[in-house]
Amino acid sequence: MFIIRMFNIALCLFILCTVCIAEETEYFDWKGSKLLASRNYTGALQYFDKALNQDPSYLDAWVHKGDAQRAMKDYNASLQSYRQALKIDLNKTAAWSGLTETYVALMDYARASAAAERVTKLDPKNKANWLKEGNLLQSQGNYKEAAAKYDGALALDPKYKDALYRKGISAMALDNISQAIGLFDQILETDPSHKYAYNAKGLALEAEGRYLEALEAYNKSLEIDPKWSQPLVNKMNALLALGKQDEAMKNFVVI
Amino acid sequence: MVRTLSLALCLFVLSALCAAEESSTYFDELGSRLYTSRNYTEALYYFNQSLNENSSNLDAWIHKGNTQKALKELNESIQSYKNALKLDGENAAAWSGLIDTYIALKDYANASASAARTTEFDSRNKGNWLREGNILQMQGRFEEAVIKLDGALALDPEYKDALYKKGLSLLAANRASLAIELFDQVLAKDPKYKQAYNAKGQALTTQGKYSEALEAYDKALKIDSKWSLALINKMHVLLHLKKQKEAMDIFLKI
Repeated sequence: MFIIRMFNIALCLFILCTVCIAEETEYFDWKGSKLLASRNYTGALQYFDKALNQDPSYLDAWVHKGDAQRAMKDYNASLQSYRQALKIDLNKTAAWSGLTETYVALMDYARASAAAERVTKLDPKNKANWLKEGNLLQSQGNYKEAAAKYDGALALDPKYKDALYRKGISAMALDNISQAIGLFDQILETDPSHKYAYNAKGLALEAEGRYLEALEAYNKSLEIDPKWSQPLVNKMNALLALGKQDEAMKNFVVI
Repeated sequence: MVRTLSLALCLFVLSALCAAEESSTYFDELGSRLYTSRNYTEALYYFNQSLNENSSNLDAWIHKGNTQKALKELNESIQSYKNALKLDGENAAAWSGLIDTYIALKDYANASASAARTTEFDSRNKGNWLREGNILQMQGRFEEAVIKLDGALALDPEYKDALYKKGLSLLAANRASLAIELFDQVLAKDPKYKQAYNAKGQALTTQGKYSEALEAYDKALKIDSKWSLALINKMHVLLHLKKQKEAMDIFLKI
């Protein structure tokens, strides 16, 4: 009877201890996350390590550790942490997202694309995932594949400006200028202060040799942001194409 | 007795003056050190101290003007330079400060007038002629700028900056071939002059020589691969050449 009672007490103590340790791990991870948010990366890393020392299978701490290492530009270590997280749960979206960002930082766009594709597969109802995939493909010059991803984003939200804009750039690269102009116009219908759409529309019009209209588009972009150098330089080039050298050089000397 | 008293008084006044001058110089130096370390507010405090001790301290007025300019107190800065010029009407540093402040205010008319004054009293300085030319170009007065740039080239026919700027004026006047000759002169003297390659690219574009323009931009980008001006210009030439994909590759990188 005494032995059974002692055994029960020991069991209770063991369970209590385990619960306490688990709570402490969670606390360390929470504390690290707070420091990460306040950009104290070294301090954050110490807490994530404490959490992982107590429980090496604590998934969130691996992801957060990867985030802190990425912020400290320790990219290889960051990749390692995200991979550890994925060993625990292959479907952890945050770990795949972290991997994507780290590969982007390393300019390894092929691997970044592959990781981003996993994120979209895991969370296909998130339009930003489709956009991200598209942007990475564009960075590699894969404009056609990128357009398919933007279509994925636009299927979820047909008025998604970023996807319309990027799809327009793909259309331009694929020599479908009128489609590009149509897409930029769609953005401008919903957001007339979208300076990027005006600027890109100007380029599309230039590609068609419609220099006067291009000039108008650049001017509209500059009305929104007079100090943005890109449409200024574009405007100068449109003026040169129109044979207005004097005006073009007036722009040139003040850029 | 009276003579001794007078002598003592003179000595006292003289030493007081010397002390004021010395502390004025000391405060000015302290301010200059703070200015160098970009602590403009404190620097201004010391320049004011310096001028309180000796309002004829020319350097302190100029340094005060520079500091006010750095603090974007442009009108106050102009006043300080003018005070310096009251003490020495030909002080080059005061004129330079004044001109730069007018440019910052986009008051090109006054900047031009001030620049013309510096050329007047120091006409052997090619930099003065160049500056006058540059300010005229900023106002779109390309033809008048050429006269000033020729003034600089009369003093130094190999003056790269003047050759380059004169090329820009010629380009504005639709004389692309002559402009290209000048840019080539610059490049013969200095193959690292990226601005000349870029401007040459633009001159070639106006002549419809797109492949050669592309080559010029590529040379500018070899010198500075991240220079957005040359990148954007290259993108436009690619659009002219119907190479949309390559153009968009650049567009995404800018």
